[in-house]
Amino acid sequence: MKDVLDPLTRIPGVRLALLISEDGVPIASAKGDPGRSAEEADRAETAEELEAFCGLAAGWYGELHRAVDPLAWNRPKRISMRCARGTLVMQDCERVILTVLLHRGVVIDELRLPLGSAIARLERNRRRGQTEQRGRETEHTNDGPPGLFPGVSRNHTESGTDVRTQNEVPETSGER
Amino acid sequence: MLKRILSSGKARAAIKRLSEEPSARNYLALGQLHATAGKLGEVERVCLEGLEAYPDNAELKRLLARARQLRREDRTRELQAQLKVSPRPALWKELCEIHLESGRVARAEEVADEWFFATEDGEAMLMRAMARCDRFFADRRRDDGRRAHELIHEAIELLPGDKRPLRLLLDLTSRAGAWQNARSAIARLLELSPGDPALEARFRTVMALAERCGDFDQALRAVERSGRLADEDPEAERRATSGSVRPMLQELAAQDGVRGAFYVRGGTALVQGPRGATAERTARGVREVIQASRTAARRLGLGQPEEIRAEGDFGSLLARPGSTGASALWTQDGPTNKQTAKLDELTATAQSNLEEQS
Repeated sequence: MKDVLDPLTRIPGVRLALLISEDGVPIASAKGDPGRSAEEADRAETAEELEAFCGLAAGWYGELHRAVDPLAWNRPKRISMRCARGTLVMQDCERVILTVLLHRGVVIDELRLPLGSAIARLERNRRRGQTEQRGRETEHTNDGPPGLFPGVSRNHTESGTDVRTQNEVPETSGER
Repeated sequence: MLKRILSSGKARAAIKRLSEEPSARNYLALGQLHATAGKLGEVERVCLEGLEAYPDNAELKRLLARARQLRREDRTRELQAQLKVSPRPALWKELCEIHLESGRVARAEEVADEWFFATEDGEAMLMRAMARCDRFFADRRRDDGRRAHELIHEAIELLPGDKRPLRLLLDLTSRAGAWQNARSAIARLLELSPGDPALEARFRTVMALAERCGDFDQALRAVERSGRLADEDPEAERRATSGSVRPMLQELAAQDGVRGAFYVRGGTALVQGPRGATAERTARGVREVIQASRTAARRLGLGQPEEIRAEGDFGSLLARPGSTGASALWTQDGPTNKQTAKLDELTATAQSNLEEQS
């Protein structure tokens, strides 16, 4: 996850980059520019505050979704809020929310491209993870308990031919 | 040098134009010339003179505010330099006051803390309390209100017999709607200035209100939940907006790619674009987006929201909350710069209309 967040924190004006689950649980976080004044520095310093911040931010996302839901609008893909003491940008990516906290004065649109890249990296990591998991699952299916003849493959004999019973239907007709 | 000579020549010409035709535009032109030359005192003088003749001119007001801001910044730099050489209470106090005037509450609090830790002075404690109160009035967070209350009580202990911390306590408790606490603050003030008719009248008013209200913590909770202080009139928000907002909304809604333009204030919403039940439903949705964002911004410690944006399959929704109402624009592919500027203008117009009405 660090490779997703670290490039974002290197952008000037980015104070905090986070990956939050839909229900507000922090998944990963990276700190950026610490800020010049106390009002910027006194937010989300400890782990508890970070958790609270994530919960509140995800809550806001959920509330906005609930507000636009009766209009038959889908869940917003990206929401942002420029405030007196900073800017919050949140972008949805399949049940994970990429969240960035900016210092006051940073233009939100300047972050559009880096956020898009971060989302692409996140999706790529996720696809890679899924492929690896699928590979592991395939291996697991072959790791069953040994049969009557340990050392002999469950599906195949040593010579590679199928073990057949007397009453099974042959693949080809017996009339040659 | 050459720049100064050229600008003084231009200034003379601008003064001549102004004497021939004392219009707001000419006042503004002269003010801007002085600003280019760095004569902030002159800018302030010209703007004040212009505002006497044209009190509603927004450009002159903006230029005056900018000039004052720049003067404050210059003075801040001077004070910071002096504080490094010889720190003393008068400098700390002035710096705190400048920060508070400029709305830089956290900086004011920082300076007041530094002052207090250096001297343990009651004045410094009072300044800390004032800064925290300002923060509470801006953000309406319960924790800020509680902390301000504590700091005021510490200031009262350090400055016995001083009315200022008690006045601050009265201000905090009445604006939060904690009338029982306000009543005791007035009672203590009356001990210091017995027979003050204004205080006595206020005491009688607060007595009636105190009977049907909870404690300070409950009042703070109510402020945080509603986002409204007790002295903010909800009826004022519900008053019908002036007619000049509607043409601006219509103009916005007629532009390419715009699906709807909204102005929301209290329970009233002006909608251009969607019609019938859809208009009502959309306005309700926009209002909820703004309310949820205001609450979230306060809880997240980000202060008042200035711009809210939501993007998705539905297009883009941009909202600009003002101090009373909020304007919003729903577009297909995101708003253009021109549309955003128009939306700002709409919010500012509605705000100034409300001020005129009140």
